[in-house]
Amino acid sequence: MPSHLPGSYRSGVTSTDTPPTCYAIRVAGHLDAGWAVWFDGMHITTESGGTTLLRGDLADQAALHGILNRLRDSGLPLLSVNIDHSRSTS
Amino acid sequence: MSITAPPGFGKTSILAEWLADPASPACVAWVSLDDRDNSARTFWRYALTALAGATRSAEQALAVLEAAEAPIDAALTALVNELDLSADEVVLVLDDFHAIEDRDILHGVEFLVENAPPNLRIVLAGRADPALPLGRLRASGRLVELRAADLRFTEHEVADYLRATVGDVLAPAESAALAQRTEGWIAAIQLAAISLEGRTDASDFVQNFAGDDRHVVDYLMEEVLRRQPAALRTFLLDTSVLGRFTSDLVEAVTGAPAGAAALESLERANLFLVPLDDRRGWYRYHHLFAQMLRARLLVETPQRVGMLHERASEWFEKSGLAEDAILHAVAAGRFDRAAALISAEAPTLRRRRDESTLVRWLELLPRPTVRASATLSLGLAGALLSVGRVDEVDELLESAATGAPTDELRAVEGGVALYRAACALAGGDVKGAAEQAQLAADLAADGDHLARGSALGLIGLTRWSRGNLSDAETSWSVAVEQLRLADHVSDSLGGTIALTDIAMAQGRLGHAAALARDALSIAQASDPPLKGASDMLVALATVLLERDDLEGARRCLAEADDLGDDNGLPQNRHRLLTLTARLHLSEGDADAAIAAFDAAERAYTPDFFPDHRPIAAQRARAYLAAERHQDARDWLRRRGLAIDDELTYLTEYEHLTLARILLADGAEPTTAARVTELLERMLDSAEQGGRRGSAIEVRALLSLSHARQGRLNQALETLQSAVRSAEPEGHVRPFADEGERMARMLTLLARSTPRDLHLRRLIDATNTTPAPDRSARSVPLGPPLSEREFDVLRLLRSDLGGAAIARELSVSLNTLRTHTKSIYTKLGVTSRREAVTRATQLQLL
Repeated sequence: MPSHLPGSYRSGVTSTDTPPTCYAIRVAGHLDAGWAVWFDGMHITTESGGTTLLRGDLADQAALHGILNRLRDSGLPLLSVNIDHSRSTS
Repeated sequence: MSITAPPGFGKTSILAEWLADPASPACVAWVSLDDRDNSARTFWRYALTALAGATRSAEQALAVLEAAEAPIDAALTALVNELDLSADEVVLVLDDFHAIEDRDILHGVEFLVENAPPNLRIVLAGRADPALPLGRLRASGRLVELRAADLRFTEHEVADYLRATVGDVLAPAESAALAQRTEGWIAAIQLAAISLEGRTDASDFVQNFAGDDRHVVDYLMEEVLRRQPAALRTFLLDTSVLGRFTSDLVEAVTGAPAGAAALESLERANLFLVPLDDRRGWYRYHHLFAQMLRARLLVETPQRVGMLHERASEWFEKSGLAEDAILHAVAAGRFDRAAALISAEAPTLRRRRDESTLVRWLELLPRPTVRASATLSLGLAGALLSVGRVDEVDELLESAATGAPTDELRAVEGGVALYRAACALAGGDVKGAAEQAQLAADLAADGDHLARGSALGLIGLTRWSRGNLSDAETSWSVAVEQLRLADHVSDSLGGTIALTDIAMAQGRLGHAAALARDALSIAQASDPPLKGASDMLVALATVLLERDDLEGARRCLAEADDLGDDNGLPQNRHRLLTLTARLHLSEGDADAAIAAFDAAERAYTPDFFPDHRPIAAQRARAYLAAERHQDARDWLRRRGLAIDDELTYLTEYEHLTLARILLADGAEPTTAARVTELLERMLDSAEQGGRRGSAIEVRALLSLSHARQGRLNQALETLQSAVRSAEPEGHVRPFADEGERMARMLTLLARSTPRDLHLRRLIDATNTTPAPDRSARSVPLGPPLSEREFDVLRLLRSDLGGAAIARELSVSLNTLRTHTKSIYTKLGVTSRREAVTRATQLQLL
């Protein structure tokens, strides 16, 4: 899927056999909540210290890499990627 | 050279600047890549076209690539060779190389990087390190790297840049603050410069910006957009859905006229418009800028996004750019539209054997959409089958079978039957496969050569798997003809392999050779030869080996090797290695043969062809030749074959191997009796199935088995009929492969039929490896003995005196003396004893 098409349109590749995993991705710089749409509906929280936390369920590794590429292509420096075991994706 | 940095670091600009320098190489080929270029043929077509525009030495490679079905490696080899001879200094720039994920492309680029002559420089620019062995290149000092740190602007450079673009509006401390906040990121600095233009509160702007934690570019973009006229702002957001555009396309998408004027004003305002130099009239936005615009569009007017994509899809369809039309239709959520576009493109993709693109496109659609359409379900099932992903095929065929529209009912049902046949055959259900394949053939329309050819090929396979060779041959002959008519030449070459294999089993070596030669000349009529030429050479070598023309077989294999793996159909690698092993075995080098069989086994790629000569069984025979009987017996135990098994064509070769192993083990007469019984059953079965080739080998073994039981007459009789049946087509290896014991039997047989030419050839070939008395055989023979002289010679070996011999032959003593004198002269001897010794050495007796 070309990068100029948002990830939410990646309709054919959603995996149904494994439950989604909740990821917490931290980047440098503040993003406002409006960006959530661009990042497949991940929940966006700005943190003190000028970082932003993106948290949400991703279907599989392909979806995770889609988000990471998108962050890279937006010039957002990646600080950390973790699996969020609390699974509170609100 | 590798340039790796996030977007907006000026990778492209610094490259363009370097290449504009008079000291830089003169011939520049620049390729801007994106995700759609992830197909090896498309990629290399762009790259070689760009190179051919830069240097004449790349024209040959481009011509090679454009030749139908030519392997890509051949084009790259031509490129390297031609460049090496050229004086041109060439730079190949692959911009946005991170967009390339296709393994074949990466493999080709790696080949080019590793083999580039000194006058070719390759520049890979992208946002991530290229998936190439960079460490090795770095270590050999052949890699120049530029990374983000090298591309960041220093405070000094930022100040210079701002002074040049907006003048002296910032104090040194302010410009330093800007440099710090942007970390020398040129895209951000450019945005800042645009925001600064015409501002009276420049200091405030810098202060606010430096004190804000927001993502640098997000912040600056908002500043820039806020300062644009409303119409231009909307234009930017609307057109951001496009990965690339022309003035015509932006007009279609925005619904506003004067697209060209709008693009011009963007260019004037320096708003990140990038011309695509390899596609005239096409532009894109700078990646980072486009990314920000798209995110903003999605936030501000999400309801417009679908409509914009749909307009783009319509424009691309009208312009004949199917892939873009499909992708935008999917992005618009118009799956029905995407489905129709894909269906229209499917036949072209199938003819090009580009099923992977078809899978990629169809997988963009939600499964329910695919399932709802019979043609799409069928298309996806077929494409998945061809790329070896069988898990979902059944369900898709089920959807196709139930949902076909009436006007396409017959074609869809035919397709479903065809793929069901293939699935059944893959699962070992030969009977089910035969039924479905027959159904597919019945449903195929008269003019549908591809459907007919495919169905008949499958019918041929089911008949072949059951050992029904003559019917299999009939089906395959039609299949090959139909595939040629359908212009699927490489597929038809695959069918020729089936035909030659069948002809070999039928013992028709001459026919097999003719088939392979004909097909080879078709494949070689193209330059470079079509995919499958190599397979034909291997088939031809198989025939030559069977006739013990080792030199000819070697030549064919060397020629096949020269064509390269890419020229072969998927199974050619293991076929070539297997034949190489058999050649080693024929040369008497059993160890080399075993090693080559090991390699063949590793390269083994299964297909629908019956595995009628399993590599493991062939290797077991090599173990026997290497005196590693235990290894051969281990194979037998693992394979679980027994002497009283029911016989099938598919296990014929293995049962023959079993018989050999049992006979080789110094078999007791009781074991030999059971082997004899097995071989007699096998002979019946081979003759009933019209497998004359197999029958020759069975008879040869049967003769050895009789001999082991001490039944010499029967042994010789059987051998005699084996030799007779081997003569017309020139079979040699079935005897020669049996080694010493066979050599003794043949020599014995030669006593009763001394003038049998084929028998002499068999004796020669069988004695070649090992050759204990090569010296004796190397004595040149004089003029051949007459029939009468042979009779005399045989009696000279007996204890009979001259008079008794004359009586035995009903001739006078004088006549006998004339004969003996002639025999002595021809053999170069002077006495009866010498004559007998010599005749024995020459194996005349």
